[in-house]
Amino acid sequence: MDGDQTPEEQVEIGESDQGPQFDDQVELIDVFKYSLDQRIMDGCVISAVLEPRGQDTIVAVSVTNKIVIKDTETSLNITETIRCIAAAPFGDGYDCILIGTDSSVICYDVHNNLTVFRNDVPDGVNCFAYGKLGDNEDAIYCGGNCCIWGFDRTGANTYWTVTGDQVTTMCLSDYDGDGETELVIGSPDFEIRVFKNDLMRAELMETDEITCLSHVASGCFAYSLNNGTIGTYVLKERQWRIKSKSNVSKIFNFEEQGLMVVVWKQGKIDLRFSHNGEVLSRESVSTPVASATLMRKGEDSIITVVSLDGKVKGFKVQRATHGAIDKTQQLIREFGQKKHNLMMELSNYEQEEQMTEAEKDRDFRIPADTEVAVLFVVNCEAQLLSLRVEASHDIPIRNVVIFAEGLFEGESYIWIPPNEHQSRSTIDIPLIIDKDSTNDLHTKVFLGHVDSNKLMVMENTRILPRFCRFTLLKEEYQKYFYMPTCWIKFDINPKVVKLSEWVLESFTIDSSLVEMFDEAQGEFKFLGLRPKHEKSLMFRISHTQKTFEIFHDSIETLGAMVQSYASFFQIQNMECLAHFPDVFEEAEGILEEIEPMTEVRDRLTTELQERQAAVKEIIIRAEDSISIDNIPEARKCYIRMKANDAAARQAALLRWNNQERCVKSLRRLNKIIENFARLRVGEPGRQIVVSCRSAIADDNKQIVTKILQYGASSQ
Amino acid sequence: MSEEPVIEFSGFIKACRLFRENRLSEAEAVCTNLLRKNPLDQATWALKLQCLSDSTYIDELENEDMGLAETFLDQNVIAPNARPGTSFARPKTTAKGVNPILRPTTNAGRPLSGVVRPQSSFKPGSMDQAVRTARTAKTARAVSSTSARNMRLGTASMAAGADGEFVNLARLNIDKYAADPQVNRQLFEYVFYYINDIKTAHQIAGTASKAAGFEDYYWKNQLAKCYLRLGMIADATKQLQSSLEQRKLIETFAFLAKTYNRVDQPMAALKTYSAGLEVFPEDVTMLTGMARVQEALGEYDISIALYKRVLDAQANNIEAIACVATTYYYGGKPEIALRYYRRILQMGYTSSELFMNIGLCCLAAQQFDFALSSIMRAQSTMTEDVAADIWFNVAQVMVEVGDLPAASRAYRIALTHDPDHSESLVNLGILRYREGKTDEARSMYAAAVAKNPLMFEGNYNLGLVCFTQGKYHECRRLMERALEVFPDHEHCKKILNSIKPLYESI
Repeated sequence: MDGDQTPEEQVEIGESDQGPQFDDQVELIDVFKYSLDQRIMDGCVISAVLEPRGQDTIVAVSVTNKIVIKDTETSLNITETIRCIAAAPFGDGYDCILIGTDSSVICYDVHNNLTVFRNDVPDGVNCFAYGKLGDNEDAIYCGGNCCIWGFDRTGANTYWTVTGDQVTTMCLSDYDGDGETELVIGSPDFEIRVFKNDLMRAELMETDEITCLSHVASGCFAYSLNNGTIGTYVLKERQWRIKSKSNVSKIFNFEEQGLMVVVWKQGKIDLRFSHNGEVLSRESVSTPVASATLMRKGEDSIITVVSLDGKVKGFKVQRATHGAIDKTQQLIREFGQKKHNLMMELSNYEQEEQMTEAEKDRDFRIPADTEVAVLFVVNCEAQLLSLRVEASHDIPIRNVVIFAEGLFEGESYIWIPPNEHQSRSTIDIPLIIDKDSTNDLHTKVFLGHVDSNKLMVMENTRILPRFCRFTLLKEEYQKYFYMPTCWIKFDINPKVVKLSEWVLESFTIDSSLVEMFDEAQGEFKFLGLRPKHEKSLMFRISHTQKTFEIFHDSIETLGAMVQSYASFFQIQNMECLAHFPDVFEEAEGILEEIEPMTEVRDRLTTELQERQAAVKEIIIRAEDSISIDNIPEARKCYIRMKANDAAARQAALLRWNNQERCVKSLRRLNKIIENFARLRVGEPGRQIVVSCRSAIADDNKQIVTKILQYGASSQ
Repeated sequence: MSEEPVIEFSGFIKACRLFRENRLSEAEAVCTNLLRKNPLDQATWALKLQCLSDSTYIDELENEDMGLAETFLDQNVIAPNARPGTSFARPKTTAKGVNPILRPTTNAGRPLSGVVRPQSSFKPGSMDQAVRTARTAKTARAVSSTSARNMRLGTASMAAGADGEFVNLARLNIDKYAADPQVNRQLFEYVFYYINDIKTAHQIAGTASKAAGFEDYYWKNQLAKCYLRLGMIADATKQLQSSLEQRKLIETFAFLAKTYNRVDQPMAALKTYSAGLEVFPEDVTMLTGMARVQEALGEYDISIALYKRVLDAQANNIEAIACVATTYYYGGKPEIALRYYRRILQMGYTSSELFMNIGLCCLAAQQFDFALSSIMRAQSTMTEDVAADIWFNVAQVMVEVGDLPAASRAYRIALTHDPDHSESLVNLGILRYREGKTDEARSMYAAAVAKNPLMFEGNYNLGLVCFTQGKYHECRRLMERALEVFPDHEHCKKILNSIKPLYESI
């Protein structure tokens, strides 16, 4: 096994449970093998039908920035740097190749040698997804930096929205099982976001960068993470996951429902059931994999794996010829192991009964009613949240193991006293939390006297509240309260009966104090804890006026708070008033800066082009001189060329710098819009994105900050 | 009536009148005088700019001159070896398409057309070959289009402004004038056509487009023109597409198609022309463009059908008539071709090429009396740049009538006019070979091949000589090269097959 399964419950899904034709007698056999004779760029391999009534053909991007098509003598030449490719059936019964570069999307029809469309995407394209999203027509979705673009077959822009981070992978899948597909995107900030049309439907927190997403069965998509985890989500719930040490190159659906192919970068290929991740069959190639794809050859579906050095290998799934592998043997072994364990346990109990009291005393027994309390404790002086583990009866704690996803580096935390005589019965483990997310803390506490040779293990699970970074301010620590300059204000929804319930769930707060949140009027100050201890939080709640004001300086945290509040009380739509002077200033700065920058970019581009033309001309002149044996003249030409070349390089550098700054600003602007959209819930949030985009497109820039502040409906 | 005083225009009105009557130099002189009195008069200044730019105006649409640098150091083409029939670099090579025996190709290996166009000199092969191919003053291809014809036009106009340049661009406040809708068009055209400073022109167009709120199709088209000249094809395409969204204009469609042609995507160009035709049914520019593209792809039947549609819409379109005539001639119907050529003549256009074509048609149609008189007229009117071709055709006529000594004399005259005329060299070689002077013939063929490495006849004939002399290795090399140009040539294949056993026996 390439890893053990984490304590995750396994949800079974009903009917389409099993591929009945596949028992455990399936194997992958290789059907073809050839080489593209080019080194292939990681992840840039697709199969596409390039001509009418054609066959699936392998199309890949070489590391030299060319597109290699199998069986054609030349490669396609793209001037910009290619980042990703995809195929979409935009042709008349065949596929067009979509090329995502660092500044545009090119849709190219190989059969007719024509560019169907070429659209500018200023910050580049990282990944594609083709299909039908919600009630939109079939379109191609391009994931960029902090934004997603959609184009239809004519190249018209049909979709645009912003998201919290770079989009590294996308797929279209029916996430909530309502019969319509949603756009699922994965980002390096550990989150899987689900968009229903252009409204964010859900955010799923994972434990590492998302590297691959793929629709594998109806209502089910598979994901893989940078740390080697793979798993699936079915109907909003994670169904299973498996961890391994190697990295996934590609996951895709195999033609049979409920089967998926996982191709690992090191060359392993697994055929798995998507409902439980069980491996049906496995194979491997010897070289590191660039990517893999499914090709259709007549009736067969062939898993085609392309390695980084251009070797292509095709595998077909077929019934195993060597008969059933000794599955029964394995089962017997498993039961044997189980029996052994049970016998061990039984003998332990038996031993216990036979022992005398004296013996027990010598053993440094701990009382049977020993309890371990796991609490959250705030040290206000240090502004630090810690986990206090306390054992009753003064039993020393010998060891604490905490397992919590994404909270610690390497997902678990082990505390061992520096030497065993320093073991105490109470210890504090500092929790420095960077992200606002609920987390399960699985604690295992090892208790036992110093001289004891047996330790008792106590298990405990605590839920870390989402905003545990804040604690209610006590009078004596007033000095640590910094009044935030930014705030949001919204009306309290009639659905909200007891605000205290939300506060209790989301914050670390004494349940005795929480009642006051339901009082008619109130101002509540919270102390920020490390690592962001200089950011304080304040609520001003007025149940009489039905308003709720939150004062805090970090817009991301406020966004998370609003979302958590809304989902707790199941509020569908919520508008709010936001006041972020610094962010508004920044946004205005960017908006003012962008236009001159694009103008300068245009000018710099023409200058670069002129210089390049000069270099080209001199090359020809030099060749001319050489061909008539006029070497001194040729030398002169080359000297001139050197000067011109240096000038061209200079121009290119200038342009590149300008472009870099431009993209950075754009990215930041998208991020700002996204943050403000998250301060609203549902439709108003969506409207913010839509109206900001149209305001920018219409050159109506003064209005953008107004929209961000008052919401789109204020127009 | 006669008592009424003759109204004399003067001042600015006079300049305007003169400009309206297209008396540009006079109008310009008047403007100069006015400007001397009042240098800040913007209207006069703009009018003078207009006069100057109109005097050097060229149709950008037809300006297809591509320099060597553009052709060989180009990076805009996506597919260097696209499917035959979807790329200008690989026209169709089937029987109905390019067949060098039924219809000769240009000496650049391109399908022969009825009219000479700069674009038809696209040359396949490597840059090395192009540089080595002799370029004399007459056959010269420009090194690059930024320097080429445009520079020549630019220098011609420099002489006109005797007392220095009219507008000092380095000192001009471009942003101010470019944003002024009263003068920016004139200023742009002056800089673009007269000064030929494309970078500044681009700057003007960019500023003007911005000042117009990115909603003026005119400036988008001008920007596209600048981008085309600068070789930034993708940007040009973008501007034109955006211009089409605002207003559908024939010019914009034509330019868009031109940008596609530049990146070697004829299918996209054809699509654009069709889209243009939907908006402007039976438009001559669109149809002509389509016909040209089809012709360059070797689809003569479609091309001719399109040219006929052009003639339905505009009966006096010389290009269409000439192209239809050429196709009829090579299609073995010289009488019909003759009628088309005569039609051109009737329209009042005369040139030595036309007379030569009429002569050749008459000859093929057995009307020898007419043929001779036409050819003589062609000879008497010919200019230096076509002399070699005229004499070559005279020689062909001599061969037809059986007067071989006169033919070889005519070929030699053709060669004195243009030492690089490889067709004459080959044919002279054939005549020498018939006389038994094998070595002389060999050197003629070799010279022709050296001048034009892609020529089918040269390679084939030299290969034949090598075959008879037993130089099989060289013969094989030449035949293979000939087959590259004309893949279906039976004789080449036969000779290669007969050589094959010799190779296998070694």
